[in-house]
Amino acid sequence: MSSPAVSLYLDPQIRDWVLFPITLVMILVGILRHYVVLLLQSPPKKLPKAAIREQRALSRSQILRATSANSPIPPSYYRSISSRLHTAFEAGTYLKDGPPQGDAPSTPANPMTDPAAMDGMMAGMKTQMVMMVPQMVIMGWINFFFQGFVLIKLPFPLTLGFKSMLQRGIETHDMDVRWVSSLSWYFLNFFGLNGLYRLILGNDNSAADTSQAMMSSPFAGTNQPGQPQDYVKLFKAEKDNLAFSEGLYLWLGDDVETRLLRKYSKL
Amino acid sequence: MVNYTVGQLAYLKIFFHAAKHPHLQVNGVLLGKKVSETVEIIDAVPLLHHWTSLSPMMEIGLDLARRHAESLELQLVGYYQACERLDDTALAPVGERVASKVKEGFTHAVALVIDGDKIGSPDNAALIPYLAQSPSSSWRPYTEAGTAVPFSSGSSFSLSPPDLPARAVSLVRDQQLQRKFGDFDDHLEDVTIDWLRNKAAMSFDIQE
Amino acid sequence: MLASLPSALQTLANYRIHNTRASKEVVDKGKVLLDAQAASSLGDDAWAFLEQLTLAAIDVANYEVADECLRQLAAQFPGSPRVDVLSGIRMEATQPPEIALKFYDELLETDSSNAAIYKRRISVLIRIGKIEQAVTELSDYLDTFYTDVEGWVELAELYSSCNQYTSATRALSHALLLAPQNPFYVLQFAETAYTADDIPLAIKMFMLALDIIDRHASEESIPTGVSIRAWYGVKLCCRALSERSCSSASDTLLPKNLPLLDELSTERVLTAYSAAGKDNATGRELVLSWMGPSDRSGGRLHFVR
Repeated sequence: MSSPAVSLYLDPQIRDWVLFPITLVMILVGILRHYVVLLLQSPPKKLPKAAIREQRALSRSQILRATSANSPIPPSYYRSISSRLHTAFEAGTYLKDGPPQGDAPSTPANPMTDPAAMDGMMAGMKTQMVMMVPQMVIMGWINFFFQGFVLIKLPFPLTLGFKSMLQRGIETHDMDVRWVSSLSWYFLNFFGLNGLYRLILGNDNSAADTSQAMMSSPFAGTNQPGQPQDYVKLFKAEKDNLAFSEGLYLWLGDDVETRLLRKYSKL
Repeated sequence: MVNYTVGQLAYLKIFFHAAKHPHLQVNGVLLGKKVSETVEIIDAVPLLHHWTSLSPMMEIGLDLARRHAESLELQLVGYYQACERLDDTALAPVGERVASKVKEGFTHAVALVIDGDKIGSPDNAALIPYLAQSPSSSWRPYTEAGTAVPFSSGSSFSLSPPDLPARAVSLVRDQQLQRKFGDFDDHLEDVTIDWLRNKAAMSFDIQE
Repeated sequence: MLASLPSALQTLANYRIHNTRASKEVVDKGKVLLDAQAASSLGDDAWAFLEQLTLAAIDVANYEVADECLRQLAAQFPGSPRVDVLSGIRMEATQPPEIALKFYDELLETDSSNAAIYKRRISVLIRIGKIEQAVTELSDYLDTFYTDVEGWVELAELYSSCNQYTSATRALSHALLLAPQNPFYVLQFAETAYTADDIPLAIKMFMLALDIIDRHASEESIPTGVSIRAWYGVKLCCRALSERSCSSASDTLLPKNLPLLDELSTERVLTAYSAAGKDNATGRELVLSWMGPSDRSGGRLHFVR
């Protein structure tokens, strides 16, 4: 049982030459990472007209449906637009590669063969590399130079299970788990410097650890950039929405005369 | 073949209307009367400079202009328009309709289209007359017998007095009178605008 | 001169926000700033100012100023699509239209997503009178860039100028879907429907426009501006409906209570005229006589004889 009263006295030089330098280096490397990512980022690839059309086709029917219960356009016009969209979605007129020929099975765009999605994936991978490499380098550096001694005392108690991780390199049996090595200071910094990066580089920086944010929100991962959208399925779903909205449709002009006459106390 | 003369009031009003909206199509009607073998175009009433292809406000304006003409003991004798583009001198479809309607009430109705290229030069009337055989036939630009150009000496169309273009140019350039000019479109936004007479814009020394 | 610099900048910024076409003034004020090299003092606004000055200078045919601005913009933003559009407009001003069209075609081959270039092409086609081709290209453009409301309105006006009023209403219906609260589009739809001889549809849309404009109106309010137009429209339609039997291409039903509508619209128009005072409202007697015998409201009218 480790004695609770024992208090280690650490050389102040440890603080000067280990604590601050590690933090400083991590901050600087983080900022460097941010600018490198900015430089590496190629300008967003311009989509050809057909791809833009495909992307925006859904919004046409969404715009129609948005006002369907209070529609400014008369019934014959609404129905004609609705049915035209319906046939277009059915036949796949808005797909950027044209309507599916004959009975060829409609497969979602394979990322390997679709050049646009490929570019998106490459950009993502490049960013990952830039994030990972400095981390590995710093970890190696710390392990090499700052091993074998305790650096700080954590202000909160931990269980014995953490001993092996946080006190790696220090082969003691009884030391309180609160005394940790420099590597754990590294991890503390790694997770904690996000706030500082936000202050220095603004909210939209590439130095912050986005993978952690992704883990925390379960829905974030589903909408990664570069993931090909299956428009065929989306159009089919939209068709049903159109039919539904047609049932809800009402024209504002139906009883506008009654409203108007009432406003002027004629009725 | 009857002769046509365009008087000062009419010409200046057409000119001011076009000058006020140089980027747009403008139109209006011509008031006058037939005196023996001459149609005297004495006055003009400006109608629209906005949505000129659409008819409801034009119909109302036409009706009101007709009543105004009657109050002055004149008749509706024609239609005028200025096109949006400088090189366009065609009578727009809406112009044909209005001109035909006027022709139903006055057999010798004429449609005048402003020549965007020539307007602004002090010695050219810059008006192209269109005539039709009957209210239901199409309107064609008038071609003179012989070599005379409309509004030049010897033509059936003339300006009275003949130096009207120069006068119009100087009035616009020096006094900016077209700014005080208002048409039916303006009147619909502000009923105090005197679109029928446009006294404010016509307030200069009229030499008869 | 230096004291008026901030006020000049303020005016120019105002013009930019409201999209005013006061080209001569912009050139007069802007030229001073350009000569004094004061553009850089504007910071980020400098480029918007240069763009504004370029357009104004081309409008008044001052090509020296335009070229100078373009040079500065191109030096700052090489290969920018926005600068390309300005170069195109400059070309349109002095070169034959075919050269400008070819220039735009080349730009579109490298980047088919530049919406502004498509619109320049269409405006050149309209200018040289190729209306049919302009209509085809505009429809194609709107098939991709659906949310461009101004594009739909322009298409409607093109159709109207060629007598195709039903196609114009169809184009306007998209504008209405995109901007359902804008009474001007509703009014334009109403007038176009009237011109297309669909009177029941026209009267409904005139009333819809009033519904939006006069949201908080009551008996006491005085119609102004756009609402006078709309009330005149209602009156005109009422008269047409009572004088002849009107069919509706869009199968719109006739509104109920037509006589009351007739009365109300007469009243509203005349209120506007009498509110301006006996001497100020010109042509009031003419309007009264135009209203004619359908004016049955007698004592309920709010105007002063």
